[in-house]
Amino acid sequence: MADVSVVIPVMNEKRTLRKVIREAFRVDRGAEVIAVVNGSTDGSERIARACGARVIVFPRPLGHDVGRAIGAKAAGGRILLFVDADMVIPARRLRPFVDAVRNGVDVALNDYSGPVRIMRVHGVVLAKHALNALLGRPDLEGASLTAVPHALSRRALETIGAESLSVPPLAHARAICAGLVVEKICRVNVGALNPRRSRKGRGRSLEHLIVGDHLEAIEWWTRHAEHAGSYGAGGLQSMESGGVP
Amino acid sequence: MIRNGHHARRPGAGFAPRTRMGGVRRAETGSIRRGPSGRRGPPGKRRRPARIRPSVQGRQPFRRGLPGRSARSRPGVLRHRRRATAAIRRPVERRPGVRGERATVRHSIGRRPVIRTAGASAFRRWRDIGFRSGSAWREAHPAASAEEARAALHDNVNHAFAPGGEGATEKPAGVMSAAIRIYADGFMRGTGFSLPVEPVPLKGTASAVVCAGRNEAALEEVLGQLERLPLREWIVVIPDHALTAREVAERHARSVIVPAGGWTGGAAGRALGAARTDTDIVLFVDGEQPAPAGELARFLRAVDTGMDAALNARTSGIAKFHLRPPAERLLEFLNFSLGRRDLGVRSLAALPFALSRRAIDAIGAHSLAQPAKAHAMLLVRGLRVGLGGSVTWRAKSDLDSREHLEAWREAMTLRGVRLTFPDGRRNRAAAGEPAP
Repeated sequence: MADVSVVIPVMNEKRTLRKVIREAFRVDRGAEVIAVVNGSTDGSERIARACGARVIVFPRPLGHDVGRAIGAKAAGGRILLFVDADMVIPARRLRPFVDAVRNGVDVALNDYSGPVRIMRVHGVVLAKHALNALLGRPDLEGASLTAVPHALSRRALETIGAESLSVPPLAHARAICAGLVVEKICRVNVGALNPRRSRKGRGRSLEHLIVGDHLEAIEWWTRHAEHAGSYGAGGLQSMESGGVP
Repeated sequence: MIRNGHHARRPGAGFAPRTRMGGVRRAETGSIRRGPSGRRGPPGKRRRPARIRPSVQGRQPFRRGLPGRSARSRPGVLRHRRRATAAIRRPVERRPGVRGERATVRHSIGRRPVIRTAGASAFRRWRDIGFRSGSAWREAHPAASAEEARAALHDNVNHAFAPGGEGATEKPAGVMSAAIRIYADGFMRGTGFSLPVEPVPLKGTASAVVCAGRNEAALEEVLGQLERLPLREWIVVIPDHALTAREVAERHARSVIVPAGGWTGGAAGRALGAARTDTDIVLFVDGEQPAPAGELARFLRAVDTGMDAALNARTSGIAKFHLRPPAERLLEFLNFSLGRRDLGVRSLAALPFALSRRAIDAIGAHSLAQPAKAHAMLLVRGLRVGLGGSVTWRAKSDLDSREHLEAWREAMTLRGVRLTFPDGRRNRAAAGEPAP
């Protein structure tokens, strides 16, 4: 059984897919690469097979992030690494996430918050910071399972449930609530690498989707914080002192 | 009495200098720009009359009419949005030199801002009218105190300048408030008393709620500013740890003292105080951080002209995003998720603010004990939330996250989990994740 599984949701990404899969195989010797090809009509499936990935095909689009949950369910590795098919990140920049999980981290996040040294930030950036503050982890700033790359331990996957990955902020809240070791590892500037938003002009609806996801996470938290009778890993105390737990 | 400004159009009267000081101050000092024949300066060296521009009497259209009137004629749906936009922009328009006069500032590209004012003679006339009213009142009340004179002035201003009053003409708001000030100044001179006063025409009644702290000097200053405003009374909430503040409060005739018992935080004190009010407008101020009466007047005015909640429009003290405390990020996201990105971090969690009776009745005075939740309730229930004055204010304690959870729970109960941010594209069933 492979030690590392790399999950790549794919929807019409023939331009970058070959390189993305190549880098995924380079992350770890004997890595398992799972391409979840959905709603693709551009031959992405053929490319993925040719490159040696395990391919799961859905003729219709699954929607944002759902491919990750499906890939995670199929994955057999001890460590799961998640990347997107539309941006090529070199293997050497992906390895730190895998290494962190190997060294005991359950959820290894990209230390990327988006542009924040301004007065008015993007809605998604705001949502991520607010959720972390609410979960008692302001130290995570804008790091979140919403952004790739990130890696999960098998333990994390079993604790939060693979299906919850289809709403990443929800999975994020579950991981922190469960007391898993959630850390930001290093910075991969996906904002600069990701041309998708401008290219396909879906920035606004994507912003709304992700903000809504965060609201779902908050709603989940209102129910579970109440049941647990606590506010996360020292959450309330850290809020009051304004510091970092 | 004021005839609706017609006589001010006689030649030469309708001009005011283009200057940061505005025509108001000029009227006070009595220095009026002369015509060409009376020109001073060395002969042969003609000074350009370019700094002179027509006054509002001579020029149409105005930027804005009287606030109350124009607002009410708009369709209801657009009302709060437009108001909010106008209010948001206002702090930027303000110039240090015109703080007192509140003249209307218009920006033009590549030029200095143009301040439109009424003609000097019009202001002189308002002062004379004020003076005559003040003298007449004093003759009728020879034994009256200075306090009574001030109360009489507020009544008088209400009469003369409230919408429909004899002094209410279609002037830009800045000119109106300058006129009111001049009128008030004249009135007080007429009565022979000199007490600082902040005239603000109100249709409704107003009161204030103050939470006292340990700093008595600050409380004295806070109450001193409230004295200038047309408030019927103010509730001074005194917690056990600040019992000495009682003496300070008792020195002011309009104070109503409410002991708060054990300390439960300023918000709880405000809830307690709010429950004791019955006026149309309630202004909530900090007992330890004095704010100038002129700014507080703007909160009263905002609510009086149709807003349900006028928040502190402060821009200072708000850092760039990465330097903001977690509590401010939560407030900003709360506003964002409730469709009011324009409010930024501004909320009921910051003082001062003013509420309409409608707002207090809708959310209940007790709910003010949890500011973030109360704020969300106002927004979710469609009350008109906008900006009032701009006061520098610093938070004393961070909000707790529990309260924010309550705020979102409240909103989600009414509008659904994702509020106005639906997920219409995901095939969650394929992954085995239930729908939201």
